[in-house]
Amino acid sequence: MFDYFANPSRFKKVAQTILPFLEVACFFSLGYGLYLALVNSPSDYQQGDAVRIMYIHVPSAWIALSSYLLLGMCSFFFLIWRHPLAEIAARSIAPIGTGFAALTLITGSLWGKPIWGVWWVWDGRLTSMLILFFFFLGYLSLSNAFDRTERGARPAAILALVGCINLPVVKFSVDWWHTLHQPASIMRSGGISIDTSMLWPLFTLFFALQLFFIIIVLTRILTVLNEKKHLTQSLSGL
Amino acid sequence: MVSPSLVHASLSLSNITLFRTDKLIFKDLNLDLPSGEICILNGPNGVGKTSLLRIIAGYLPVSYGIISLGGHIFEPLKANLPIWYIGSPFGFHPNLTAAKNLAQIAKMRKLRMPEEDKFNISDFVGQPIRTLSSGQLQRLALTQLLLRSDRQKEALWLLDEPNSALDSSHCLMLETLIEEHVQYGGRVIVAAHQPICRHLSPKIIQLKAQA
Amino acid sequence: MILIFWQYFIREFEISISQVTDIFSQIGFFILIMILFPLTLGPDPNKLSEFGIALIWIAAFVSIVPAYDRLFSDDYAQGFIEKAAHNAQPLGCYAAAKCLCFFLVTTLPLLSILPLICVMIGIRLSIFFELSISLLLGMFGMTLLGGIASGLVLGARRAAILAAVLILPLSLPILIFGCMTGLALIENITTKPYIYIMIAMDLSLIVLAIPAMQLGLKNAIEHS
Repeated sequence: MFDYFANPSRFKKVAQTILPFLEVACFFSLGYGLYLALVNSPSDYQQGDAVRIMYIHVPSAWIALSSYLLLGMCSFFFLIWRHPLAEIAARSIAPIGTGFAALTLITGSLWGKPIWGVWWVWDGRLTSMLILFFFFLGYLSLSNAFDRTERGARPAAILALVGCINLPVVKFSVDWWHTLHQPASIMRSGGISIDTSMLWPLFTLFFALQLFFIIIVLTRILTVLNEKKHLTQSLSGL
Repeated sequence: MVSPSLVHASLSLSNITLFRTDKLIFKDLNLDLPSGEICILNGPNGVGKTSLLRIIAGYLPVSYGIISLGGHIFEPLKANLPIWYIGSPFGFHPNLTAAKNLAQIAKMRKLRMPEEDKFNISDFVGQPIRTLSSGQLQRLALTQLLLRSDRQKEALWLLDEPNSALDSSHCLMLETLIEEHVQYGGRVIVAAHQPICRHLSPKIIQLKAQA
Repeated sequence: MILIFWQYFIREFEISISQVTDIFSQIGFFILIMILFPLTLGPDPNKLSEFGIALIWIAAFVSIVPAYDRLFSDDYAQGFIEKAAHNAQPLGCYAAAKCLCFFLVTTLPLLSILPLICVMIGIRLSIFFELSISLLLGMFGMTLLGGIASGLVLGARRAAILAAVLILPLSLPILIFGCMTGLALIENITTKPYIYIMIAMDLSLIVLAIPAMQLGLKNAIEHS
């Protein structure tokens, strides 16, 4: 049962070496990105300073989506090759992804209030993100619904895979639904081209938040591995 | 798939170890069971008798160790060695009658209904399962072993406390049944608290509680 | 394979017949939900017929979702799934037969009282046939999703609510296209694209659900 530690220990070594570098890079890119976004970028001629919410909103949406895909990939590896590390990774990614999806929804709503005048509109993207958030919630509740934690691993992995396959269909159907019920005239950020002066802070912050995501996930994986190692040692001591 | 030539080869368990939630249930169990032999699992409650039977039945994966049949890895759910796991819950639907449940199982496994009613189930075949007593349920479950086909003689029987609720005459019948099955080259593994089949010089696995 | 599938199907059917009150209470639940809408939205017939299709879909979903967690849980608790695992045919065969039977015994009674519901909320009966087709397609997909969820939550705490939480986000495409079919019917435009999309979704769900259910059931056995 514990023979797989050969590989995770290598993983641990690599992760522990790169973590400090990632932390430094994240710290500086976050600082620089925030400086660009909040100070050194023009305000929108229509939206004013409210546009600066975009620099957090859009990257977190990307990260939320990509982390669900990553979750699906890890689940796939776990199901096919029964690789325990993949299961730990999936478990570690899920809450962080949920957090980013929630962040997207909150910033979207904050952004919507000054621009659309309401906290929430049934915009296609917002709706898809809301559903993605519920996908994450389903994963979290299923993986924690069993009295023994490891019992939830495989059901949750199957769910993540089913969700990943279903995600494009959901996206497609929500888009279709949205075009059919086109509301009067709301402004959609996607329809408007973004000036380069806004792209730089956007990408810098995306990079920084992505690093932040990786750091948290790696730390969580390391914690679980250490916990397991501790358990093994206490077991073998018996 | 087990090739037909392997059906009479020895079923061997080597170094079977089981953890559940990082708790050691049993460690390094070994057993060699050629066709026509019987093995008895002994031990107090909670030492893993049922778990071991479920492992051999293919329901439960082992933590370590190998089960093999004639030198090949034995995959119980894919093998064409017929396996009967008789243990609670028995798999009968409570709303259907005993006869219907038995007929369904026979159909699903492509078997013929038994010729002899050795466990006297005719007393209650018309009743829904939910009205049966535990002894009647056990008799119905054991009647599954009487379902006939050409291959059933080789079957591996995994019996989890098969006589716990039987009266003495049916206990005796069970012992005769096991004896016949073993004589025809079948294999039997029994987990039991009451002594059973002592005269057949069974192999005995004594399971102990782990620290 | 087909023979075994048929055996399982017959078994399921016999069990459903023995619990026929479950079906009636399900239909009763559906009608009760439908009654709630006029009471909450107001009795205005124009408003009701405008929302009618959506209301039918919502009521159908809400009345059926709580039933899904029990799709496999009885057989699991009674040890039947383990038995089925020892048959030569894979567990997916059992799961598929179970889903098909469940779909038939829940959806057909629903359709049989649909004309009544249509009259109650002012949907004209001329669209009944196409409405039934879309409901059939939608509920078929729902049953497969329900089967996946039911297989996954076996042995979980509060399985019923958990299954609902898993199914509903996954079922949104079915709901969206189902309602669109209904809207197209009301507006007298062609429903073909939506019907085709729903057929495509159902077919791909078959491909997805059978292995998923098989994996879920197998995993549940290993941990029982």
